[in-house]
Amino acid sequence: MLTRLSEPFLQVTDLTYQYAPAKSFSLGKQSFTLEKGKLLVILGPSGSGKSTLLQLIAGLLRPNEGEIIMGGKPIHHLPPEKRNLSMIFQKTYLLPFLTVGANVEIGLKLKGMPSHKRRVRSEEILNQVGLTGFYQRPLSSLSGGQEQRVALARSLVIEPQLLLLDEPFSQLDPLLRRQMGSWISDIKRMWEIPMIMVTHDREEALALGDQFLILRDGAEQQSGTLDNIYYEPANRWTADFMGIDNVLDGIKKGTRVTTFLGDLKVHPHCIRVPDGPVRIVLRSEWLQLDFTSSIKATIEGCSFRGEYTEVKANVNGESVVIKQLGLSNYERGMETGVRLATSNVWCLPKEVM
Amino acid sequence: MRRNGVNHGKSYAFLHAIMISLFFLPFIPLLAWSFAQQWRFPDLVPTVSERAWLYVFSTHSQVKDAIFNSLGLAAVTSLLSQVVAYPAARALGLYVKRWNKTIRLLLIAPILIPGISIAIGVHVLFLHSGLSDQWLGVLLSHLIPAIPYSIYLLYGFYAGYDIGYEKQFRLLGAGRLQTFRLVELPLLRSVLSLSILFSFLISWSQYLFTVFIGGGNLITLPMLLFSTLSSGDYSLMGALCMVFVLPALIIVIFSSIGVKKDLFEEKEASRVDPIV
Amino acid sequence: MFYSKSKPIRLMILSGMLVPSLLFVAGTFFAGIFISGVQSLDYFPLIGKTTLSFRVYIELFHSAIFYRSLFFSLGISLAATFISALIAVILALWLRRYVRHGRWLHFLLQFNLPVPHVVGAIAILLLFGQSGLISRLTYWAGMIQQPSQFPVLVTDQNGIGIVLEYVWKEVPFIAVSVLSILKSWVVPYEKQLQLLGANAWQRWKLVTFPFMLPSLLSSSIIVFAYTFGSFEVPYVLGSISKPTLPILAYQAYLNPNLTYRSEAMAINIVITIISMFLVIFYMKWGEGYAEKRR
Repeated sequence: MLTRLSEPFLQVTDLTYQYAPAKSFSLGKQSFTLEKGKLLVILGPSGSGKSTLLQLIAGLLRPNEGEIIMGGKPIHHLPPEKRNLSMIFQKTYLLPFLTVGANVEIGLKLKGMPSHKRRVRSEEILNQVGLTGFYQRPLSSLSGGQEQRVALARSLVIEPQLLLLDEPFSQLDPLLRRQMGSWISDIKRMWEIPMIMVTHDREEALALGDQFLILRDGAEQQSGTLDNIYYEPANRWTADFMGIDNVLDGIKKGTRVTTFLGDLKVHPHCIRVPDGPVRIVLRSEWLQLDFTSSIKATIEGCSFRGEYTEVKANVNGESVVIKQLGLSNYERGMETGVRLATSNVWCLPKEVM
Repeated sequence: MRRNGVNHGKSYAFLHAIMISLFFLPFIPLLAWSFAQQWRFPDLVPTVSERAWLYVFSTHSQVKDAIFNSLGLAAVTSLLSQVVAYPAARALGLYVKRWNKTIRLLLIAPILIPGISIAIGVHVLFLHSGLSDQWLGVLLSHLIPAIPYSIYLLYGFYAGYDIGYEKQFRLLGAGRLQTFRLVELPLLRSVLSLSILFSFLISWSQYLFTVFIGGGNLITLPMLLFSTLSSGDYSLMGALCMVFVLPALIIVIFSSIGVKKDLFEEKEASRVDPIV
Repeated sequence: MFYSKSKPIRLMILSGMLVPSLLFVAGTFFAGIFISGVQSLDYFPLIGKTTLSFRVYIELFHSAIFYRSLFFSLGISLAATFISALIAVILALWLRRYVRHGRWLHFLLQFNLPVPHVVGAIAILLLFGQSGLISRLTYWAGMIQQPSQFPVLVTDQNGIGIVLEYVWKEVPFIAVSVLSILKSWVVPYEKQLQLLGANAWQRWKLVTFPFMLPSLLSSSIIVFAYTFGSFEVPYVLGSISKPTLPILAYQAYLNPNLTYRSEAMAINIVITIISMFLVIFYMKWGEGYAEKRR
């Protein structure tokens, strides 16, 4: 990152926030950068401070320390309405006494745009979110997903420089969630708007994000690209949080590590992990059942999860979880073999765990 | 779910009759007396005369002045109590966490402490500070129950208010005042109008404070009513009662219309319900 | 509202919001109570009494008239609250069957909520007096021949007229607050219980009543507090020879003989303390429940 010549669009440096002194929770120093047209996902369990961070960027909370620079200008001292950004909350906060159109154009009205221009712009943006002809409708006629799209339109019509999303779809059903996710991706591409999204949903995060920041109890656990957080968990907690099912003991020696699955090659980024006892984190989708494999396994049980089958198998007295695409039915106690589908494995020093 | 149409209708009509007679019956003698010249014992209908009403509406009667005094006092009381109550209610409902309940107890206590106790104490106080026998003193005394009542009503609104609406609008570029005008005020509207109307009513029907603090210099409608009561002129009493009830009637009609229009409340109510 | 302000400034704004109302309540209400308290302790610098003494309270607590008034007031409040609550619950249970007609019934129910108590009291006087409308109806029904044969229901020794007025005025108040709970909260729970096999009585005992209890309790406390301290209603409908506690304070205060002044103040303090307890009950039970629910 430091080698880049141009200034990043958004630069957050050492942002900290402390709630009332009596409360123990505080958000430790947070720093990150964000480029135009990228989506940063702030991921973490509830109470990790992810919403706090978002509210600091929005200006709804005042940071104790640190600075936020957007488009080359510091904005951390500005009130929220002067920051030229937009935020979408869990609830839509559409005003029930106004029509769809009036809700969408309210930001333009606040800027003093004349009403006929407002109307043209709002109808245009309603078209883009797939709500053509909804301008005159009362709010009560909308479904949940439509309401979210109106809220999105309202936030986009003021052409914000940055869009903040605070678990925007958590109240929608899974199908709508996925749809709204692809809307967000489309808008990001078409408008080149940088976005920051807060979520605790791993799947949604991985599907939408370009950059990631994982928080726990107000402290950063890991940040980086999709590859980083998918393949290279920084510690055991992140590995668990990112849904890595298999954590195995092993002895590392140089570029190899010895485990009950055999002698494996270590990921090049892990070379610096000191030799000796380590833990190997292994995604269940990297293991496959294979009769011909030399690593023998016994099936302990399996359950179908809609798209894949989760198989529990016993290898050399240790339990591992394996994901098989599609529906498969294995009988308990069946003898089979396991094959590793990756060329190298990620390992963590034992004391970090 | 009308399985039992006929029965349903009958019991509904019965309920209706009971409610109407319960709540309206007491007004019948009042209304009748206001049009009575004489109403001797066994008669069910009085001999009719408009005397009382003519007196109420005559230009040289005390009644007109009393009505104007009451109206003016109630209007000023109502507006002032909103001005004082609004910021306090907002602060308590949204921001003040520590001591919240205690502060509320102190602010709301005057509603539940009997008027006679307050009136006597405040009378002595105002005698000392020279506020008694004055318009200002009476106004201040009317504010004593009105402000807590407004705080109570408005606090109820802010305790269940989702500040997210305001956050959202600040982020869309609205300043503090615009947020107030476009978001807060429309959402607050029905509760605020209730608060305005009820603090008006508190002042309008105030007798003890007016008579103690005003010392008889400021004649209001309730004072006239009490003096008529001791004079035994039932016809005038009936007519005055009718005038006295009028604002209350307007308020009921207004609030029942207001409640229906309140889409926001309806939506919130259904959201609160955990199962339906 | 002040997101970008620093903490000291936020504190200043907050106190600016609270101070006017606190100052007002302190400067009128609490100052008034304080003066009552001081004067009830026989402190009148104007006539040279500058020592505090509990003389008035000791006299008061040995006075039969005081106890008679106190128990009369408490009795009236208790009776009025209990009868109002009972009728209100029955009415609310009955009313909620007609959700479709809700608006009109609600309007009817709310009709006498804002009617001033004085008007209600005068109406009761004209309705239940010995020459009132009811008395005339019983004459035409042949039950009585003279007004004096009609039972004394107003300005009577038992406070029946006072209780009647309170019940008339407070039934809708309690019913409205109970009804709002019955309409919004209870139905799904009742259905759930019905599916588990509960009969009507069990549903009432296990769901309906516990659910309405907090709002019933809090509105009943308000009714009790109000009826206990009300002045206008016993003034119109009470007997002069048997005053309620507020009327006793009023009579003592207006007595031209200044020695009664401190007695009035002492009664005042007694009324205030009883009411303060009710306020605390209200905050503790009534409001507490409602907040937990939210």
